[in-house]
Amino acid sequence: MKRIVIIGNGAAGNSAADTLRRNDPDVELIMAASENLPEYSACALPDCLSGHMDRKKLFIKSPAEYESMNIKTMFGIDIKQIDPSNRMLMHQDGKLEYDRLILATGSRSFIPPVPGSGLKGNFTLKTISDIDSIISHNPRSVLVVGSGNIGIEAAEAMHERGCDVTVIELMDRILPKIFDTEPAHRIAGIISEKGIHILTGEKVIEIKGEGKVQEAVTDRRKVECDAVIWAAGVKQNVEMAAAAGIRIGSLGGIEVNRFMQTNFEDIYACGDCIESTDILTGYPCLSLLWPNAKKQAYVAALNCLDCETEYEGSVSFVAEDIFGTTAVSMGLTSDALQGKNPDVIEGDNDGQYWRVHVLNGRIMGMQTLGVTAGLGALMAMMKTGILLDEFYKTLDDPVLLRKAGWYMPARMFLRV
Amino acid sequence: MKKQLIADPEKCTGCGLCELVCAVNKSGVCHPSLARLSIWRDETGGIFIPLICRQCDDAPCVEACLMNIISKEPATGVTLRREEGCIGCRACQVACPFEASRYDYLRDVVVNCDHCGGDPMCVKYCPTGALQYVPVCESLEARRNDAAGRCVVTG
Repeated sequence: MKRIVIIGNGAAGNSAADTLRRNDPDVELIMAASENLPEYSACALPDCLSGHMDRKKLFIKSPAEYESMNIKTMFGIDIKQIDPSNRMLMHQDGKLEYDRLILATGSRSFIPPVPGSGLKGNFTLKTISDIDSIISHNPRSVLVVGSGNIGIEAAEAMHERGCDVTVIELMDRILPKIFDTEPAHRIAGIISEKGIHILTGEKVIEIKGEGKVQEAVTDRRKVECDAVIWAAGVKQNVEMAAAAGIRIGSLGGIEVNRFMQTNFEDIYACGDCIESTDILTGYPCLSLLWPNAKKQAYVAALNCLDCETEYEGSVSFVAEDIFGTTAVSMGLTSDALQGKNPDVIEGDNDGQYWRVHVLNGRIMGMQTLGVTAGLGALMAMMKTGILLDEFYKTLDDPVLLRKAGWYMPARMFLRV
Repeated sequence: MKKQLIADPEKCTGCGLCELVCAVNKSGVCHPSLARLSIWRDETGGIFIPLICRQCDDAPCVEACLMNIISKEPATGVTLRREEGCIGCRACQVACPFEASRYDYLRDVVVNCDHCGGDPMCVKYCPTGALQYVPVCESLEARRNDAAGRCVVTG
């Protein structure tokens, strides 16, 4: 009988476990992870931090569910080493053999080496223990370093808790990786209207304080604060894999083929720790997003059971709630399309804003504010590479439009 | 037998009865925005397109859900949600190409069509027969026509 071991208990690890169990009721399944908690949703952590959501609601699986699915759990265990030639894992209490291994080790928050970043009152926002320690620290004024999705969500959550919040971003606008200048400014407008201070084009040089955080020094000013939340990026957990001889790609993630297989035949990898191919550019990318991690895990699990399945590639897709306004970004920004000069379809209507990037007649990216309808259709058009000419032709022909009715919700964005 | 809810836009008059029946049945409030299906109208062109949950096999909403509360019922193929776990983040709503993940503002959760447990109300009340509840093999026939329509476009 085959034994499959999964390292990691996040979105990817659990999605792999669910897929394996659904498709093979008998295979022996072991999940090992260093965090001694059942599966929870990391994406919902800011909702819990803000106090809108009960901590209990974060958990997706209960320990009993693992048991009923016949998954053996080894949580709170430190896997020290992978021995691919003997198909063996070394951990603190002994050895564990496997027939197939799925690596879903994820990523961890990265704190830049700034003086004072070790002081009491420096936090990250990635795990449940992070939010527990922020809440027990009970800060009054917070500096959030970095304005990616985690940074903005952290700022919003701390503001809801009643703190005085400042966000500092190195680039010239907030959310620089997923939004262009215009939508980013609109989002910054909503956020600063609520009383959150935004500093762009600034860098934290030092964190000062006696025994705990009291002040942050940037290259332009001093910011008084009693807590710092670092949201300046994440790092892939690949050290153990690299030590075992598993190939690491140029971006720092584990290299896998389209079957999610590493350079060892029996070792698969999925989730934040890998590099995947971007569906739109065809280049390797680090996805770090929940839906992609789940899809990769699904593919890895099926291939583990010898059902050949291919991964179509990753696509960026982020939906944020900015104080009640839904902000969505999918595909590529102008920066990511640099040098290609995409056509931009931009529109604005009654508090709604949309921006579509078109390259060679195909949709390459989309950013919206306050819009919820029609985005799924655009996403599908983007992923399948439907030509806009074809889209317009269909819209103008009632017979064809009735056959491809799902084009209807997308038309408001694409009429030039 | 697996059954599928299908719509024929040629027959739809955009009367909106299905939306109202669905909203009343599912939420107790007579408002089309609470329905689990939606009619997309082009009044000047006389085009009315009902968009309903297609109960996709490889569903984007299942993938998008941050709380893993959406799953496929293996026997019927229906997409079901554990609504008490929903945090109302609306990721599934944005991901659905058919506008079939509907936001229920009364309860702050997102919902989708569940075929009313095997007896869809919208089909019962549709005056023109534009909505039908048929075995999957018949719905495939309709989908083939759909695909044929697209081939005409791509040439």
